[in-house]
Amino acid sequence: MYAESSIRNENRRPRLVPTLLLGAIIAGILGGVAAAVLLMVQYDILQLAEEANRILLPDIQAEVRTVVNLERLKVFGEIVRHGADPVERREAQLAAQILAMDAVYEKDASIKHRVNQVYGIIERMAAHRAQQDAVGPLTEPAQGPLLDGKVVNDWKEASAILENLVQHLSVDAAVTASEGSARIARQAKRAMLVVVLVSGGLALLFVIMILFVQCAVVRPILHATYGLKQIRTHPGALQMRRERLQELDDIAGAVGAFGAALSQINERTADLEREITERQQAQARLMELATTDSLTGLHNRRYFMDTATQEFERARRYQIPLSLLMIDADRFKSINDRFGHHIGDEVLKALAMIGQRQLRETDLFARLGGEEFAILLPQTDLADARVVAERLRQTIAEHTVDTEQGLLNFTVSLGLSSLNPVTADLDDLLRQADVALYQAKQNGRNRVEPTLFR
Amino acid sequence: MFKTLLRLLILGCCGGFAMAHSAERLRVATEGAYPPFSFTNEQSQLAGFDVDIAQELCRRLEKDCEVIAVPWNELLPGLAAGRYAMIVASMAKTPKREQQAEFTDAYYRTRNVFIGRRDPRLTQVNPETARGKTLATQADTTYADYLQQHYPTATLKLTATLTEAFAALARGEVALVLTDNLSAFEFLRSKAGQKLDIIGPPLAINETGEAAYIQVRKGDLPLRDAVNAALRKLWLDGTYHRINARYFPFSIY
Repeated sequence: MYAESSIRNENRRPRLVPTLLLGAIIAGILGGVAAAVLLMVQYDILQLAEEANRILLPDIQAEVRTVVNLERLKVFGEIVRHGADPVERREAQLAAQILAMDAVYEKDASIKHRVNQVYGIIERMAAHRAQQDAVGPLTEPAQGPLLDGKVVNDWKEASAILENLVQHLSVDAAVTASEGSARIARQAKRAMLVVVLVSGGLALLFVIMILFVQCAVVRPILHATYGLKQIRTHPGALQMRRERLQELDDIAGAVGAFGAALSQINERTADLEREITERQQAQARLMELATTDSLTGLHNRRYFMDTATQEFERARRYQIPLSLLMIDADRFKSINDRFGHHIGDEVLKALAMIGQRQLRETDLFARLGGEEFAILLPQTDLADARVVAERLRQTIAEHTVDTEQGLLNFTVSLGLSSLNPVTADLDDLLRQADVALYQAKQNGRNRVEPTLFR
Repeated sequence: MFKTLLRLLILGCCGGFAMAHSAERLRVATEGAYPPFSFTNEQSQLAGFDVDIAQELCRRLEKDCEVIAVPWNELLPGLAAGRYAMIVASMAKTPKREQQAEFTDAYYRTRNVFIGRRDPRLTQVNPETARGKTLATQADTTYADYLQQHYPTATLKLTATLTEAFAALARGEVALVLTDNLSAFEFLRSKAGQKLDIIGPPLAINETGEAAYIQVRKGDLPLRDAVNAALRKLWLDGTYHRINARYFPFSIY
């Protein structure tokens, strides 16, 4: 038993709570990582959306404004260059002047510079046109010759600059916006993937944990329960298998050990029961040996003295009559001498048999030793005892013992005493009976002699 | 029981909200004397860039619009007093004004210029060249503050409306008027402005940028955000550009 438990302890197994905790931690980490990734992606999407509204849209608006106004600037320049109406030309120049002022809002310094450059040319063209208006009425179409070549060339150059600027400007913001939305879509897809992967992972983990609990916890418990039920009927046959988790392995081990222990206890109990029975029998035999006379099967002296003492005490206490017969086989020594001990024993057996047959259950009949017997008669006074004694004497005298050496008659002498006020103790009673017996022998044997009170 | 109550409550709220929504009139204040942004036309109706923008905003906010003309110096007090929910009056942003109202995003940009009679000797306006001259601008404006602070050498004439200052300039009563380049453009291209010009380069007088903003009541952030969203929509769907084209031959956004 000790050896087994030490073997179980030697190779340590994973424990239940740490194992479940590990599962929970893995789930937590998975969830945490997913939450972090999702949060990051969401933050990025939010940033992009915010950017689209707060930065990208204003940028697009600014670019559109720049493009529109650069084109307008070109138109205003053309009006100043070709317009016939001075009022219209002045208005165009004013508008161009305002656009030149507004160029201060341009983020791109080169645009600001170019616009101011172009406005300078427009201003010079306007001055030339005003001069011509002052000189005289228009005679030629508003083409080249009207202005000096340098201004015209400058304007052509300025137009080209404006054209170039517009073409370059019109794309940037739209491209950025498009890229931004593409990035948002990518991020959203990534978020979706993360959600799918993580929820799949968590579901899988959950299923694994349920299966684990089923296999490593529930089944061992059922095994142990079944085992405990089995113990009642077949404690020896119980076989517990090793389990995955330490706690449940311990339970299985404990159930197994319990079964083994119970089986041992059962065996020992059976042994003990057997032993007890044997001892009881032996003791009974010993008791019998101690209290019985082996030859006649009557009680021996020791038993007689013990029991008689109790009877005497009781009789004296409750003043119940009590009588004692002392019996002695007549001329037993000469029977022994003439026929042998074997025949003597037969005589004693016959005496015992006849006495047992005639006496009551409550009467105590014992062989005190040799050819001497005693009978204690409870609740019997001297007169009744005398009747019993006389009947016994007569029966024995009439009895013939059938021996190997032929038929044999024998007689007994009986001394009788009864409990009386002067009787001190059992010994006293025995002595009185002995004295009476001696008297019977003296008076010729084969007779009953009661104690005489003097 | 609780659920039923809750449902009733929600229904009540929604119903109430919807009713208020459809019935609510949005009162919008403008100045009415600031062409071409706000002025009274030949049919004695309020018109102009600000008025058109206000009405388009109301349409986007799904509210019945009532645009009213309010004297310049009463605009912000009237808003605070709750006489109207919104001001669309080409107002610039200053720290002091921001304490009185919530400002939306800018809805157009300008520069600040002096206008006056063309004079070869006066190519640049500064406290030195303006010494002894009479300068006019509208009272209670960033321009008025600027002139009072930087031009102690000149005589100042502060008028209730910009139109009055322009009229004084046309009559020759003042030498120069300080205003934004867009209203200046409108005046210079009118009959009365034919002999006048922008004098000198633009001035940087407002460190917060020279732009016009819409105002809503202090703390009315839902309306402010709704107006900002509506402004973006106006621009994106082209409405803004159409209104812009009605008053200016170039983009003022």
